[in-house]
Amino acid sequence: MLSDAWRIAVKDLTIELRTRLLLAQVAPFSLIVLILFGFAVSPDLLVESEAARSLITQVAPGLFWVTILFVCLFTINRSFSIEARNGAMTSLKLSAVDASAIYLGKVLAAVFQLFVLQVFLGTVAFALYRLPLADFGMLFVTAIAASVALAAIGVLYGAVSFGSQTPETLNALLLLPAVSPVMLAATRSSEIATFGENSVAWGWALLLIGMAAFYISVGVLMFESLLEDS
Amino acid sequence: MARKVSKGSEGLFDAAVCFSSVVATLNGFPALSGVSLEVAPKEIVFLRGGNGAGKSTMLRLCAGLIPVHSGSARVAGVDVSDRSNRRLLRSKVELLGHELGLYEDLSVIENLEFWADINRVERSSVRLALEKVALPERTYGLAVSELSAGQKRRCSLAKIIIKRPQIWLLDEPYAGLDTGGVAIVDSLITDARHAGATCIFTSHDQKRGQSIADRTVELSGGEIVPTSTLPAPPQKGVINAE
Repeated sequence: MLSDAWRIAVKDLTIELRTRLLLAQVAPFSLIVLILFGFAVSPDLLVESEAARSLITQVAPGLFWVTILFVCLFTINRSFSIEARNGAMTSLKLSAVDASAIYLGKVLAAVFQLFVLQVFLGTVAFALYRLPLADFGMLFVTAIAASVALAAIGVLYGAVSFGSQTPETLNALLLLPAVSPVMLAATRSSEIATFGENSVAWGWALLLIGMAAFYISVGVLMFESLLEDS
Repeated sequence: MARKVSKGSEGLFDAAVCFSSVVATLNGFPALSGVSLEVAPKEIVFLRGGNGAGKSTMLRLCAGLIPVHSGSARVAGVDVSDRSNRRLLRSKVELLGHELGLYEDLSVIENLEFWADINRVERSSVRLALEKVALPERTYGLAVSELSAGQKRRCSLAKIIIKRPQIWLLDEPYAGLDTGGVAIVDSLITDARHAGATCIFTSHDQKRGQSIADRTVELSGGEIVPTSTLPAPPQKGVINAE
């Protein structure tokens, strides 16, 4: 099963490399969103003002994760649109590959793409919002765990909306409420990693890891029935 | 147990496809309304009928892609109505539908090697399959999106050759093919029969379909037209299933 999942992930990433959707469209889009969010919260973003800096640093982790949520939506929609084209998903269903391998493969490819975008956007966010960094390790773990949790939920709901008339809209509608706990935990954990407010230290990061494990388990168990019914 | 099909003096064997009063619905609409049909192993059956007659639905049902609403259906010895059997069933059948199941951004070779890998088939079979469908070697490295419609269909046919299923389900296999491509499809179907496979195909080219099939079954409004099951031509060793 794991070798099939790996093949599916490699296939998805190869298609992504050929089409360059992530680099040519999603990355610039998310960059613009991150900058616009900054200006919306604090019009004096680029001015050396203590008041403006204080405000933006308070909301920066939240802005970052909302931007990542948009990236997640793009990634998941893309992951399923390549299967919808030419009936490729039907072909996958008719192959010897297990549905859970399809799920894990798609999650793996999505995690990789989300993580790459997080590194890129995180670097920009730290520079643009002039943020401190208290705990790199916690930030790294938060990024990985949140990516896995977001991808795990996203691929699961991608299967639900697959085959509908408007899968992109339906996926957004289903996904946004479902990822709320992940967004909350990722934002709080990022705040602690950035500013070093260690009242609960690794609590939020561990919660994220737990969520990632839970959603992966649910996805492996439910993906087949969701895909068949879609 | 699958029903037994009479094969003259040669005794009895399991039917490759055995439908009994099968009803299948699509969005609540009965696309198949009580279809009963038996297809013997190694038989080539031509499904004909107008648009919306239920031909594609029947092929998709044989592939386990559509649930059986009522009635009983067995394909390759597998109970189709039991949805837990889907994986077993799908390992024994392959469907070439209107959609070709190819990734447009991957090359021909990449598509087929991926297909071979996920079906646990040696990658060496990919080149053999491509030679059988006479796809020029210069196209192997091209993205599928750069191929002509006929070349895409040949590439899709190569997928079936690689998988080597027991039951071939071909929905309009001649569509978009030139004369050479049509002859290749005919030869693939007959080769598959010699290798022990059963083939059910649809086509709007009735003359072509009847020329290669052992039997023609006509569908209309989701039902089999009673007089449509033509007797088998004796020179092909046809099995009259009904």
